[in-house]
Amino acid sequence: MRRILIIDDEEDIREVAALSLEATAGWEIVTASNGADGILAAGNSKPVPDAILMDVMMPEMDGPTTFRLMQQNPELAGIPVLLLTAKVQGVDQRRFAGLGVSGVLFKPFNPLTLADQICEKLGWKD
Amino acid sequence: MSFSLTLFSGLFLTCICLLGVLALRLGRKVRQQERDLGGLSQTLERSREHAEEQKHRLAERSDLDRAKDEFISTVSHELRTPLTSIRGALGLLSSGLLGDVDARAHNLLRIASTNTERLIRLINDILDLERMESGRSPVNLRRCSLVDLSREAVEMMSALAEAAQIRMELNSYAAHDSIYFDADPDRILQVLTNLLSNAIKFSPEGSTVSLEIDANSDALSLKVIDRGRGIPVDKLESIFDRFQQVESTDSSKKGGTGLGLAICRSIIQQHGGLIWARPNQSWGQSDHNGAQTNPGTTFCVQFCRSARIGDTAFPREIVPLAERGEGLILVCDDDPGIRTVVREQLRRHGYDVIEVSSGEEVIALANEQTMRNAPSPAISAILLDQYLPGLNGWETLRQLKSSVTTAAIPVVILSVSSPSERPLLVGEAQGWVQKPYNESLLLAELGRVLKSNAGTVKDPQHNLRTSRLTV
Repeated sequence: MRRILIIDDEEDIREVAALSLEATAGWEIVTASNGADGILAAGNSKPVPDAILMDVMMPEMDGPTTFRLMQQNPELAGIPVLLLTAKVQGVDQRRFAGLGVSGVLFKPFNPLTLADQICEKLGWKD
Repeated sequence: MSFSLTLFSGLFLTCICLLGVLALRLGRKVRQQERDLGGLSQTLERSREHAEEQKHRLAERSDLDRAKDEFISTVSHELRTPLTSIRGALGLLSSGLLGDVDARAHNLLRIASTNTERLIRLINDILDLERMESGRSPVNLRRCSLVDLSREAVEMMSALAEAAQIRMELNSYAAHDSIYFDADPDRILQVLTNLLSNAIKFSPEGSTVSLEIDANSDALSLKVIDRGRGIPVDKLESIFDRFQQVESTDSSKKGGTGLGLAICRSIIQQHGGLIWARPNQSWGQSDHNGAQTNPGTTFCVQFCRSARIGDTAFPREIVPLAERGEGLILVCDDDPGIRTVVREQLRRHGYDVIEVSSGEEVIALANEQTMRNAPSPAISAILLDQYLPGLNGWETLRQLKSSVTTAAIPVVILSVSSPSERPLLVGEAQGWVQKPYNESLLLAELGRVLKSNAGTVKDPQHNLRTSRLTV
């Protein structure tokens, strides 16, 4: 069974995304409400998550900064990270393209196809 | 001795005087030059200041643009975030994945879901339009195939068409090598899917929506033809404005945002093209059972290969006539007052009239007529103003006459100058009316040109089209 870590400061979105992935794909979900907790959760999770779904706009530490910190940690650097963001403007998209994340998914997402979208971005054949 | 002394002192005095005068003049000249230099440095100073000011203003403007971008990006983000939770929650509940929902509750969930989707579309459309109209959405030009883009659009819309029980067909009349053009493929696809989804939404069950494409060496055209209820003539223009729908209930019944056509127009204008709507040619025709069929609407898009990206073209007014006229006259004048007068005079005498305000539009329309399978009636003659912004009358005439496909359409120049001033051009234009003109002169000249052209037209296709003229 796949294990996904969701990092988002909005509790409602964490809840909906977790429910959607559990109900449609049967994945195991771990959540964190900010970047720092996200890094801790990723490190404490045994086994490490198969992928991280991360918001961009978060207080204190935003998604891109959290991603960069994870890349410096050899234990976490290999986990694929997908950004799940409401920043859909062209300028924002160009900024994300240079980060080195595995992909970008946009809010509002469709709860019935979110798991499919993740599989597609990561090349999973589940 | 005393004489020579006097002479010497006289000479000496004269020399002193001359030197004095020279010195004075020199001094004046130096002062003049000093003044000039001073002026020059002042000018330099001023232009430096001017440059600084310009730089400052530009910086201020880009600051303003950045602030605006930032604001829009934030608003968009703040609207999307709560919508994400709503859409997610409703989607999961109505899917039944979390347990059965009774029929009445399911209906309510469906209503909430549909309207959430509508709100998301509306936000997307508003942001899209804002970006485009503020010029902050650059077109990424690439070599595209009109056929491939059309095929893709039809495919993308096939699920919607199937659900509405509408058949879709794609017809290409373009020569293989003429379908390539420079455009932003995502944007063109957006226009095509928008027009197709409109056509599907407003078509009766079981009918067909056609996408027709055509191209020649000068222009490309695409048409989306539906068999819907049709658009009233007085709304053919305004439907391209924001939130203008034919019926006020359309946005809730059909799920549109009221911005789709405004977005289409923005995109097409960014590509230097034209978009307009017109009733189908078979207006009021009856089917074989004698019942009146739906008139339907044709949305036409035209790209002129010579148009520069970013040129904006203004939609023109189309004046269809109930009665069969003696011919379709394309009237081109940048003065709307003159256009109105000419239109009224021509209509009174049974002509059909299309009005345009620029040479570019004349070329685009004339080209459309020459394409095979043009559903619109052929232009019988063009009434062309001499002084037009952009492509002027001379250049328009030259382009019309140099293209094999449009050379056969007779042109009457409407000009403030007399034909004797440009004798060379009389050979190219078939007629000439000097402004200010009187009605009978205009009609006489137009009649003469049409009559003489009818006898000399060599292009059989052109003749054929003229004979099946209906509007």
